Amino acid sequence: MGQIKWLDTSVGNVVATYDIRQVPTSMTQNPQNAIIHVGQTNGVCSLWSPNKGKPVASLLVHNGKVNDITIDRSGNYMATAGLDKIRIWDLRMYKRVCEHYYSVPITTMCISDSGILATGFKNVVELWKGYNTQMKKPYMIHKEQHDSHLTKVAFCPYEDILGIGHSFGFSSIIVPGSGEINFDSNVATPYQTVRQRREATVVELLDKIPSELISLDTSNIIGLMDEKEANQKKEADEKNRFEAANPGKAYQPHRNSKRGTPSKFASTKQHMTVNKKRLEHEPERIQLEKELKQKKKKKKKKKKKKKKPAPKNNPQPTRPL
Amino acid sequence: VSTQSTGGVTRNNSALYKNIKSMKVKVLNRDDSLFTRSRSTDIQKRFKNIQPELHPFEKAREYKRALNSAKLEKVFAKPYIGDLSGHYDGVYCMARHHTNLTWLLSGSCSGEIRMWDSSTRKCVADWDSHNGFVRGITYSWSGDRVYSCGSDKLIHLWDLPSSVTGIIRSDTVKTKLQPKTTWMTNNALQAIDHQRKSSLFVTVSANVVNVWDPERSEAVQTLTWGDDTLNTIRFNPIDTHIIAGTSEDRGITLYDIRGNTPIKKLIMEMRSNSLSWNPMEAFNFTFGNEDHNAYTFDMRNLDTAKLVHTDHVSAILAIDYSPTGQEFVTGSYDKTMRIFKSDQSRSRDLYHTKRMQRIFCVLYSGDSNYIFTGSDDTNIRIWKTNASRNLCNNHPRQIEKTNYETALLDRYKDFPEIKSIKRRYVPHKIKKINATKTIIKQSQRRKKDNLRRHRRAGTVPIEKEKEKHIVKTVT
Repeated sequence: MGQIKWLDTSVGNVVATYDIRQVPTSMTQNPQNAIIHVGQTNGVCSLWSPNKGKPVASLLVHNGKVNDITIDRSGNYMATAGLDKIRIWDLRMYKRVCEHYYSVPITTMCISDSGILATGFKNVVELWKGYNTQMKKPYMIHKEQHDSHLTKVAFCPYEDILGIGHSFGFSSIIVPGSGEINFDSNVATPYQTVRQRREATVVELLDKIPSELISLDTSNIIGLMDEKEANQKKEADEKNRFEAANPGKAYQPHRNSKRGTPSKFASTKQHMTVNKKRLEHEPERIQLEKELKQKKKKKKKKKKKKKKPAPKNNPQPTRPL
Repeated sequence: VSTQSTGGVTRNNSALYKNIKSMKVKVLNRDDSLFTRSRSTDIQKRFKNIQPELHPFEKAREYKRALNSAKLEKVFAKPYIGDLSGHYDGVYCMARHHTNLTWLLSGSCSGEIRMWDSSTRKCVADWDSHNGFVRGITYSWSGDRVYSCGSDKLIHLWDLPSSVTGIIRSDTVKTKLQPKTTWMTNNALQAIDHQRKSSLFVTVSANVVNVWDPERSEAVQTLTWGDDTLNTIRFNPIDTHIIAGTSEDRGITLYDIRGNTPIKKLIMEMRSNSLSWNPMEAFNFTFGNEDHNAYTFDMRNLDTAKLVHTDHVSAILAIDYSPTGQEFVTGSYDKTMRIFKSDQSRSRDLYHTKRMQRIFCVLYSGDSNYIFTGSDDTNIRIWKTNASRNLCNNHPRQIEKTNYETALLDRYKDFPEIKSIKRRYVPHKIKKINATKTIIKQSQRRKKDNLRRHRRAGTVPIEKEKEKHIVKTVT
């Protein structure tokens, strides 16, 4: 049993805590939609959002445990390392793109800004260019000290440098062509001054999006709807419907026992509309429901009546052949 | 943009690379001087990469920024700047100089005219001019003379006091000015206005419109239509031969100087109190009516209003267009002042103070950044046109940011959260009166609808709001 926990670093509160049924062995975040990918011992990579108690999606990636997961900067490709293979997945279609075989299980992986995949096992780092396609040779191989074990590899964001953490310490190597050449100063600057850093923290806080927006598809969702207003509208609509169908009767609001999660609205100006066709057939449907209820009541009464005369061993009517 | 350059890399430590002593490697290398500023007085350089991969959650962040800017707009909304006080009685009329941004003239109900320097907020000159109300006041187009008319049937022409023209600024100089020229009329004068780019000025007394030339002792032209007194008069700033005036018979009359005739008359349901021409669109004018509305008309077609601006809760007493022609401000009897956009029927903003009483005159400053209101409580108040905008010399990057924020607010203005933030606090009395007004309107509409439903089709026509308040147009 594992647990996944989200902490708000600006405020300091725990946003959500959920139980993971399997033991998690690796974790990474998708930079495009902020979903956490957790690799588990049963070979499943589950995708978690702080808004849902269950994984939003899960992929069976390997036969054994998932040693490491890494995701491309664009959020399109995910590389997972199992006991004997690396597999590369297309995250939009949830399909496998390709796989590479290794004789030794891969311990760490990282994908650079420009799409170079670094894989680490024992004391060797292999760098692959164009990991999406089936490649024969790696772009580069780097070997550390003979008896060292690699624990983590990571690319420096806007430089051609790969950092390697191993049992004897830290070392960095130059990987030509792995860094992003043009940085955007609003996002991140290698030449950030103290003042800029201070400004950036304030701007980050101001632009902070509520965690309720974290979901698989971020293309059109931009904000939260006011729950109260939406509920009031809903109730008003239902009241109108009821009064239209049953003139003269008093409307009693239906109260849900469950609390609703905050709902999201799309960036297009579509408001929640009442299905007009549904409204048209509303009185008929209410009638049908009534009739069904009455039938049920009658059935219940019949059943009760039937129970009494049963032990008299009356012959039951048979079906004609 | 950084370049990839060659650099030498040596790997001598590993036994595997014994034979290779040096290797040429092309590595990402940034020239620091291109990315950092050369002097501490320079601004920091900015770099952009528009790839969407680097900007996740773009739309959500944009919406959040729109929310923030809506909230900050409310936080920074401090429109009241200061006041020009000194008059002994209510300020009845104001005029601004067409070249000097800071000079402002005001005439009060005690017959006193004051000239103000709005940047220092001090009275530069003040003199007694009339034996009654100062009904109208204006600068000449040459800028060195002042015309004033009052309820004592006199029109005075004053030279600007030497304390002003001599660039010697002193605190309230009570000068004893003598008018350079005086004209007498038969009846009390109601308003005065000066033609642009010439020396002609026009006054209004009883039912007569007089066009004067300062060189002549008699009116150059006299125009009359009907027997009712006229209240205001305004020269069209672009078609300078056209004058518009409002009269007691609930009408607005257009006169032409070249033809020496009145052209058209538009009669409304209630009397109009004030009129202003759009300085950018020569043919549009807006007037404020007693029925709490302001109407924009195209002078070429007086059959329908272009727009009906409703929001005030009492009669509109004063109206003035911004020099940009995009907005106008109205001051009303309900002690508030509203800013409307020329193409919208609802007000953009509302300014009020507990101390500000009935507003008699409003004026935009020459750079359209400030609004002056002269009211019954003897004060002229200075307000900002945009309540939350910083008016000092902004850095181009700051200007870019404010433009971005206004564009954001414009894009997201219909979203419920932002709408609720932008909802403006309205003083309690006005809110109540508005509530009763809406009830009245709704009941009237309901009754009309019922009539229409129970009569033969076509007997009760649907009235357009823009035509409803017009009684007739007369040529």
